[in-house]
Amino acid sequence: MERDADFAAYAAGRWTSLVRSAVLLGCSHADAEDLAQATLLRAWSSWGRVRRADDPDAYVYRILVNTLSTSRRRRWWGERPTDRTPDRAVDDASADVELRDSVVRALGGLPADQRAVLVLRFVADLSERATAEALQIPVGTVKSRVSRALAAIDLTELAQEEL
Amino acid sequence: MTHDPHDHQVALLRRAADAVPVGPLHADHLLATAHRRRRQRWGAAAAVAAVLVVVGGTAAASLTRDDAPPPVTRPAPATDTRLVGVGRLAVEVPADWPSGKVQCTGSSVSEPTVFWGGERLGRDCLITDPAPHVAVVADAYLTDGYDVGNGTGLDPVDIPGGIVLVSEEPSTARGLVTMLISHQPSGYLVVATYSEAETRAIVDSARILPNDQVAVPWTPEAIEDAGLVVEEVPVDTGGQYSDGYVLGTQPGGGSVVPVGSTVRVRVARSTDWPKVAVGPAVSCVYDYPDDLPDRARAVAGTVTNVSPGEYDADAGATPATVTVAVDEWFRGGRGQTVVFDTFDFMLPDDPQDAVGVRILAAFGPAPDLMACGFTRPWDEKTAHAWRDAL
Repeated sequence: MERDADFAAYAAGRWTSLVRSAVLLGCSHADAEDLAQATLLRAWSSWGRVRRADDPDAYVYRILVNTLSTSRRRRWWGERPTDRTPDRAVDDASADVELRDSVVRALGGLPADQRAVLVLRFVADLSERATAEALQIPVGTVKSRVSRALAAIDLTELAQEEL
Repeated sequence: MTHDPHDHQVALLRRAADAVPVGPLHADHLLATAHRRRRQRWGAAAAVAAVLVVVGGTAAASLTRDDAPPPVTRPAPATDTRLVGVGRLAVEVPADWPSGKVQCTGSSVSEPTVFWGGERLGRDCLITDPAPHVAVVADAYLTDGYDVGNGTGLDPVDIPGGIVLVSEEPSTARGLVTMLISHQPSGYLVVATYSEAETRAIVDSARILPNDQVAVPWTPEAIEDAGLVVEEVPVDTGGQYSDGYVLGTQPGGGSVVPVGSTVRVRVARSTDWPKVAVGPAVSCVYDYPDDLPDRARAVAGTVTNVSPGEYDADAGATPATVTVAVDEWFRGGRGQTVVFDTFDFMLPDDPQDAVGVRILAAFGPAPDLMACGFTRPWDEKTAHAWRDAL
């Protein structure tokens, strides 16, 4: 089926970025994979609209953000049992874990709108325009939020360690 | 060459993201899930296009689907709420929201209630500011891709007992925050309150009822089809309602009851102009004759002209003006004629049949023809009673 093949190719190309974005948006690793799957399932059900969108990535990341936002409001969204253990393709090197956890904590100190704009811009690598479309805000607001977020985020210690 | 002081922070963000281990995507598993959900939700004929599917039969007639999701147990609602819904889709609303407390179907709801949206969902009598409500639509359900009207669609959401479609985002109009929740084959609910939090709380309470429970439908036929027992109670309403009009049920429409329960259905047995067939199970905001003294104006006279206007899509009806040559003012008016605003459903099937009919009309302060007995064919006994009461 052409639709499935098209979708599968798209999903394979975005899967990693979706999961990583979800983690940096504050999800646990398991929840991030669930969220990424839920996002892709919704994208599949609206595949025609995704493909017709000016920027399909913006559309899909909008689904991601909305699904996350909605799931946090819904009482019934929680842990779901699974018979499939998530694969771990990459070793969790301790330095990387420390860096990741520190960045997640730092992002967690930001307002949700600033956190989202940073993740979409620099983790999902969306353009300013696509980020604006995904978050349904003006491009100028994306710029100002990025600026404010980067000014506010506390990565000083990390930066010094890296230097 | 300038160096952005934030470049290093951006680099750290990216490194942190790269440090997140990600397993492979099981695309085949994902696609299988997607197809299975689609089958569960819509069957083979489901479409991505924005459509409203009108169900040919009643909701309950389809409840024996083989692939219907198994019921799950869920704690009983808190004491200050009650379960209402359509078919086997139910939500919790405040216990003091009665069923059918509307003068017209649509969003002309002056106090919180649960009412039948039915075919006339969207009809708006334009006489009151809308109050919080749940509108129940049993003869249709919404499909994936339905545009809720604010640029967003519907999300498939797992709830206890099955999957429903829920508005991605609420829409706000006339002070109400509204969300839709749809279940195939039950129908859908329009949930509207003054706040997003309250609307979401009601939507979030959704569940699919066990097989031995069902929401009371709004017509005798549908009630029987739902596996309930109809006990018809004829009510002589004079000229207030057309013959066969369902005045209400006990338990009220939308209430969740065990399958096999008896539902008392109060049915009007009268025919006279004006035929106010605004829908089944619609109670009146103002009760006649108890609230008659509260009307600002009341008049007796003869209809001399009816002028229909253009169809109003928002109201779901055609507005009209009705000119009455005044015989007698009982209260609050003067002049030899009065021109009323109304809608087609307040008039005979052929609106011109109203011309020449002598009527009594209590209304005000706006010159709207009111339903529920406040507009009625003239008779001396009633006119005398109005003289005494007003």
